[in-house]
Amino acid sequence: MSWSIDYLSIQAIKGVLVEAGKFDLSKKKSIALFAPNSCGKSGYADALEYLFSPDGEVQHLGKGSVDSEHGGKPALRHVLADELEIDSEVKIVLRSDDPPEIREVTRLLTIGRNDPIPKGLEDIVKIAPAHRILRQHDLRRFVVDMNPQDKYSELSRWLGLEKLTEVLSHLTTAENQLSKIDPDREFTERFKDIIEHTNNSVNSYDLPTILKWCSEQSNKYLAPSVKIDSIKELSTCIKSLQQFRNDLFKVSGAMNETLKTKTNLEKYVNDLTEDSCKLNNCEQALKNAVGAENQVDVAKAEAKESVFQEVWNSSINLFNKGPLPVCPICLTPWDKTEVGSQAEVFTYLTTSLQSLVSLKDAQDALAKSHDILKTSTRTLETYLRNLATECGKLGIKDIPPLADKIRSDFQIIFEGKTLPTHVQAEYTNLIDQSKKLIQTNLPVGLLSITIQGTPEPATDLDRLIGHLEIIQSALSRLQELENERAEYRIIKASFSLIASKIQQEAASLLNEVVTVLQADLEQLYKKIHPTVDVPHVYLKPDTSTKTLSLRIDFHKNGRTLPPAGYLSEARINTIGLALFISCAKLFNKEFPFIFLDDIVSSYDADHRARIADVVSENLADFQVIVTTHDEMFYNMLKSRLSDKGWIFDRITDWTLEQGPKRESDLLRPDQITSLIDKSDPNCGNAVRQYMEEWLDGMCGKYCAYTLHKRPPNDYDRTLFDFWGPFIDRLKKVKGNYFASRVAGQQSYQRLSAHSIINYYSHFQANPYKWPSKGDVEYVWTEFQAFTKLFQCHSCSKTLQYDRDAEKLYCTCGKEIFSP
Amino acid sequence: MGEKIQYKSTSELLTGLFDKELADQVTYDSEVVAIIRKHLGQNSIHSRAGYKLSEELAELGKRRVKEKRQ
Repeated sequence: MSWSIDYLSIQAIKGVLVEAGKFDLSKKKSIALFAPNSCGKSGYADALEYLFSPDGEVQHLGKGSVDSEHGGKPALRHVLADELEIDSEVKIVLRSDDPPEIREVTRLLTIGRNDPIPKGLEDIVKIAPAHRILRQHDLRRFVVDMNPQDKYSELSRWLGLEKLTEVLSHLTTAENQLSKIDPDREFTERFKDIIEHTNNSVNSYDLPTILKWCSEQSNKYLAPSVKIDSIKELSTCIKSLQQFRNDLFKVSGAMNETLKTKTNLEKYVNDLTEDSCKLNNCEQALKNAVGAENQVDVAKAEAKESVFQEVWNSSINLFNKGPLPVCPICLTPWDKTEVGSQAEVFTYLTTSLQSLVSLKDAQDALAKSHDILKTSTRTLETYLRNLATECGKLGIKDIPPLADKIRSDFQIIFEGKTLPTHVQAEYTNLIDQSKKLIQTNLPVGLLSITIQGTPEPATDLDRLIGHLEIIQSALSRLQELENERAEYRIIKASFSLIASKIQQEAASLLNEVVTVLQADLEQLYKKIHPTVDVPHVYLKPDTSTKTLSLRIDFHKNGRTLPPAGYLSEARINTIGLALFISCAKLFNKEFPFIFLDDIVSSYDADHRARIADVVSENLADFQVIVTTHDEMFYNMLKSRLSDKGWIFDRITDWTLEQGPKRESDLLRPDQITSLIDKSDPNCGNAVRQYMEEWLDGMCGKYCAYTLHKRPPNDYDRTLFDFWGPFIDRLKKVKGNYFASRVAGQQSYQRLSAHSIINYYSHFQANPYKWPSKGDVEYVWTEFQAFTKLFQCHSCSKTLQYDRDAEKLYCTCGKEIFSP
Repeated sequence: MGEKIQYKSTSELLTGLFDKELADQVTYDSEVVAIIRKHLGQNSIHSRAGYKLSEELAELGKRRVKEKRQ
């Protein structure tokens, strides 16, 4: 699919009010507009940039308000638009020939920030993403002013790779975040607990050393002595110490309520945290319930039509009675049903019913596991309540509110949620909070409790038990953290491997595209500057740093430098121009349209001629709008493109109330004579174009059939296409008109005998090779004389032709021929 | 209009990668691949996709530790 603009209308934007904003491009698709400075031609570029802008921004106006330095988007609106109550809008009619589609889109100027591109253009801009409105300042801006990041971002946008850039950016974010969540920080904190509670006797995380310290301390009280080799053995040791402590109290008769409460709490801790403890029961119950729910989903998928169970039960009973001639439900003979036979139906129903049985079983299992989960949770809640009460009795202030909060969260967790997966994340979180409370917070709280009136050894022992409990908790957590750390590292390595693969592929894709782009860019540059000052231009994208560097070889291969520091203004602009044109050619194939707004200001005549060559040769398949204040460049384009389907218009004036005054570039006879008098090199084309238009008009008026069809290929015509049919038609006019009034005239004889009628139109720069100007003058003089043959002798108006009567007449009604 | 470049779109590039190269479970961790695809392989990408991706990867780490413990 390739789109082109058939019609364009710009209203109340910049200097264009209503007139001069309409362009019919359905026949001639490209246009060159010549205008002196301050005639409003750049308003066309602004209007088109706005039309195709994804967010309504016109870059050189900026995003600011009406008072901002660049004027912002409000500057787009014509200053009289409010007063005259005219909407500012750009309307466009786009055509696609294959498949055929016409699309009319209007973008009403919206000053607000939320200004998305109209739907009808959204997909077109996506399939043709490269910059299409080129201004002089854009050329330099890309090469010199933009930093490598901006260049990369701009190039990505042209290539339609913004999403890839976004993906790569998210990968980097994820990688950074993964580094931050490494559990090293918590690891350090928990190890500090061990240092503190071993009385600074341990200074590195070495499990055997820590356990050895625990053994030595415990053996002061235990006989026979113990050797602790694992965290589990430490737990057993702590229990032995607790028992010994309690015995000491009993023996000394100092057993009191505080100790009883503390002992109860220690029991809760054991009940809650050991293997097959309450917390583990809850975790396992959750896992079973989630598993059961998954089984229900599987069974449901197998028994798709379970809602018809009752119907199927009845059907099975019916079928079991014996063969039936027709389907008992729809009364269709079996061979005409989809299944084909009663036996098939029976098999199908049996299988389906079996699926329903499996589903029922799975649903029962789910209900049962859900009940177990709730029961386990209620038990845990009871423990948490008791734990809070006991802590309250001991005056441990920070535990009860935490325990109550967790308990109340558990109480409401199933409210309104019928499936285990609905509570899974929250439930797991509460279990983790419970563990932290019991294993980390509670031992610290217990350590702070002093039991009054206790014997000295028991006090020391009680304190040791407190330390060992904290060490045990810290060691358990450290072991978990070590496992987590190892797992994170594995996942991070896996992630990096995948991210790296995506980054490599992205870089490879970008390099592939840039290589082609670079080759085209170099070719265009050399076309405009055929010297050897820049043997190579390099575009180097880097997907990891998201930068694009632009470098040139300066006068020598390998002397690679940034263009801004070494090239002239014109050459810098050429690199920008070549890059923009290459991008548009390579990436805007689906909508080959480009607007060149005054791009030749920094060039001399020779280079302007080469740019005109680029426009006529390298953009031959493009729809182009060129605006220029340089008449020489305009004429260069005209001499190359006037027969290639281009419109050439001049803006001769501009007023605030009327906007630009646009005129066709078809010159009047007096203007052509003036060109010839000045030996203007464009006089040949002007004469030829005038003759074509005149003959074309006369063929139409005299009903002379021509092979030439005016639209859409009128640039294919030649003078011969009109001359022959016109003369043949004249021969048919009654009254012996041709023989008596035309054939004998010198102008007719000279023009019809002039074998070079089609050659003179191109001005030859070398007068010694081809005396063209004289020839043009001669043809023009004779042609003017010829046209006078078709004017009324009495009033000088052009004669009319009556096709039916095959005669000539004039609306003045007087004598049309000289006597 | 010059040489036609057939370069892949971002979606084509990512879909191709996820379906082919990254589907190799020996070289790449399939769960990590699935999480990356979930967050970055869709037509529309959440503005905080990078953060969400890292959070889900961290969850995966925790889950695996628990599974191993059990």
